[in-house]
Amino acid sequence: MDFDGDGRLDLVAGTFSGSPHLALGSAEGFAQPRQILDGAGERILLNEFWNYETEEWDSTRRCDVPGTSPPAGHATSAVAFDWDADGDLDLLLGDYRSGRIFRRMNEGKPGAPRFAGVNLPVLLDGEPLVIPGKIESLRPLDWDGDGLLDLLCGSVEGRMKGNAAGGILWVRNGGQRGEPRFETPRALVSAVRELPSRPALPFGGFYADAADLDGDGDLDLVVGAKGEWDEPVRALTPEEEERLKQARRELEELRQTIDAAYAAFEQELAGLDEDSPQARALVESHQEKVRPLFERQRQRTEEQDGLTFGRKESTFVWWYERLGG
Amino acid sequence: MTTRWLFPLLLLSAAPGPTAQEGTSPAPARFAPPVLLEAGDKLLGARRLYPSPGFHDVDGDGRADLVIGDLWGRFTVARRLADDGPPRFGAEDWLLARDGEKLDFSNW
Repeated sequence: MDFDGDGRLDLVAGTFSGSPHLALGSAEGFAQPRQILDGAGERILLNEFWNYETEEWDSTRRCDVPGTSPPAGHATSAVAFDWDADGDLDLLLGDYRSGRIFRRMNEGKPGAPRFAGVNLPVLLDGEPLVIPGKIESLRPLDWDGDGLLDLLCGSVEGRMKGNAAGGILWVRNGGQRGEPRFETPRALVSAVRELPSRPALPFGGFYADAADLDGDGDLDLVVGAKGEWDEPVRALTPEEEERLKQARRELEELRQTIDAAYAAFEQELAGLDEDSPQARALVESHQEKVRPLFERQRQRTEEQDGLTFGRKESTFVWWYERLGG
Repeated sequence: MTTRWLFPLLLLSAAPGPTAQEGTSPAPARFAPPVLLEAGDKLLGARRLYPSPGFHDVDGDGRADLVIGDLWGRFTVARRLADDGPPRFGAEDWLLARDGEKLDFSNW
């Protein structure tokens, strides 16, 4: 999306710190992301956040509508959305904790945003809209092709938290331009409830986006999520047994080498100012040293995983080709 | 560091119970059985913490590439390959900022 109207791709993303960030694109590439601040220069938050100064989790009521007491909220997803169709981009914040969505209105103008200081809840029939399974991801897009931006929501929970309502949800915008009116969430993809024998379906921690991947004129889904499966047991060949033994032996050696590298690094770092050139050089040198070890560890873990059975988990990205509807 | 890891666990365990709105109605959409996407010769988003795919035309070729964010605030891009068949993507590369460093959304 083009946040600053310069015709180039910019990236807006929520973070687990609780603040939305923006990476502005230019002819030279992306700038490193920065927090999006409100008109008073304050961080945009719900009411729980990582405090970078105290290095502790913290809370505030600064951004609540005066006179209201919304439940504890933590904005980990954020998207730009021109709510009032005034030509500048407002923000929608997804609450990881309660499943609510809040909007931050942009009272500035295109290219010169000035965000309000309070979070307004997005409503459904006069009550806060709640996404079942809470919110992992938000995407504004026109799923039903009626010219209005709907919301595609991925839930935090699925089978792994025992919430059958989790998955990918479509929240239709049944309002009109400049006056969104969101409807009851409808499930597009539901979390699987039983362990399959291969990672064929997503289980929880849902992120989604949509695009016409096959060029047939409708939007297809891509879903990033956790997959769990129960790999059927089979007998290993003698050669596979030997490879498994070698992989396990090397993984143990790698674990010891990595532990020793970190112990030495921490010893050398002790007493140095973290921002000093010496500390930064030490960090870089340490990273150079451990990077190939982690890569080797990843390769051997993959090999080991391919030769073991039973319950497994990983993350994947699935493509759901839309056939109709 | 311990405090940082405790917080997400506390969030999940302290989650509110179902509300009156929870529950969904079926959506009028039909899908083919899902397919695991690949990037180059690897599975896309494998072994990432909370892979978040988003479509963006990163290289300006008119095709939507897949940008994958994760819990660490780092992004990779898998570029859509130019052909007319089923969607195929090139190997995942780190998305870099103009300073040459990995784009870092500083998660916390």
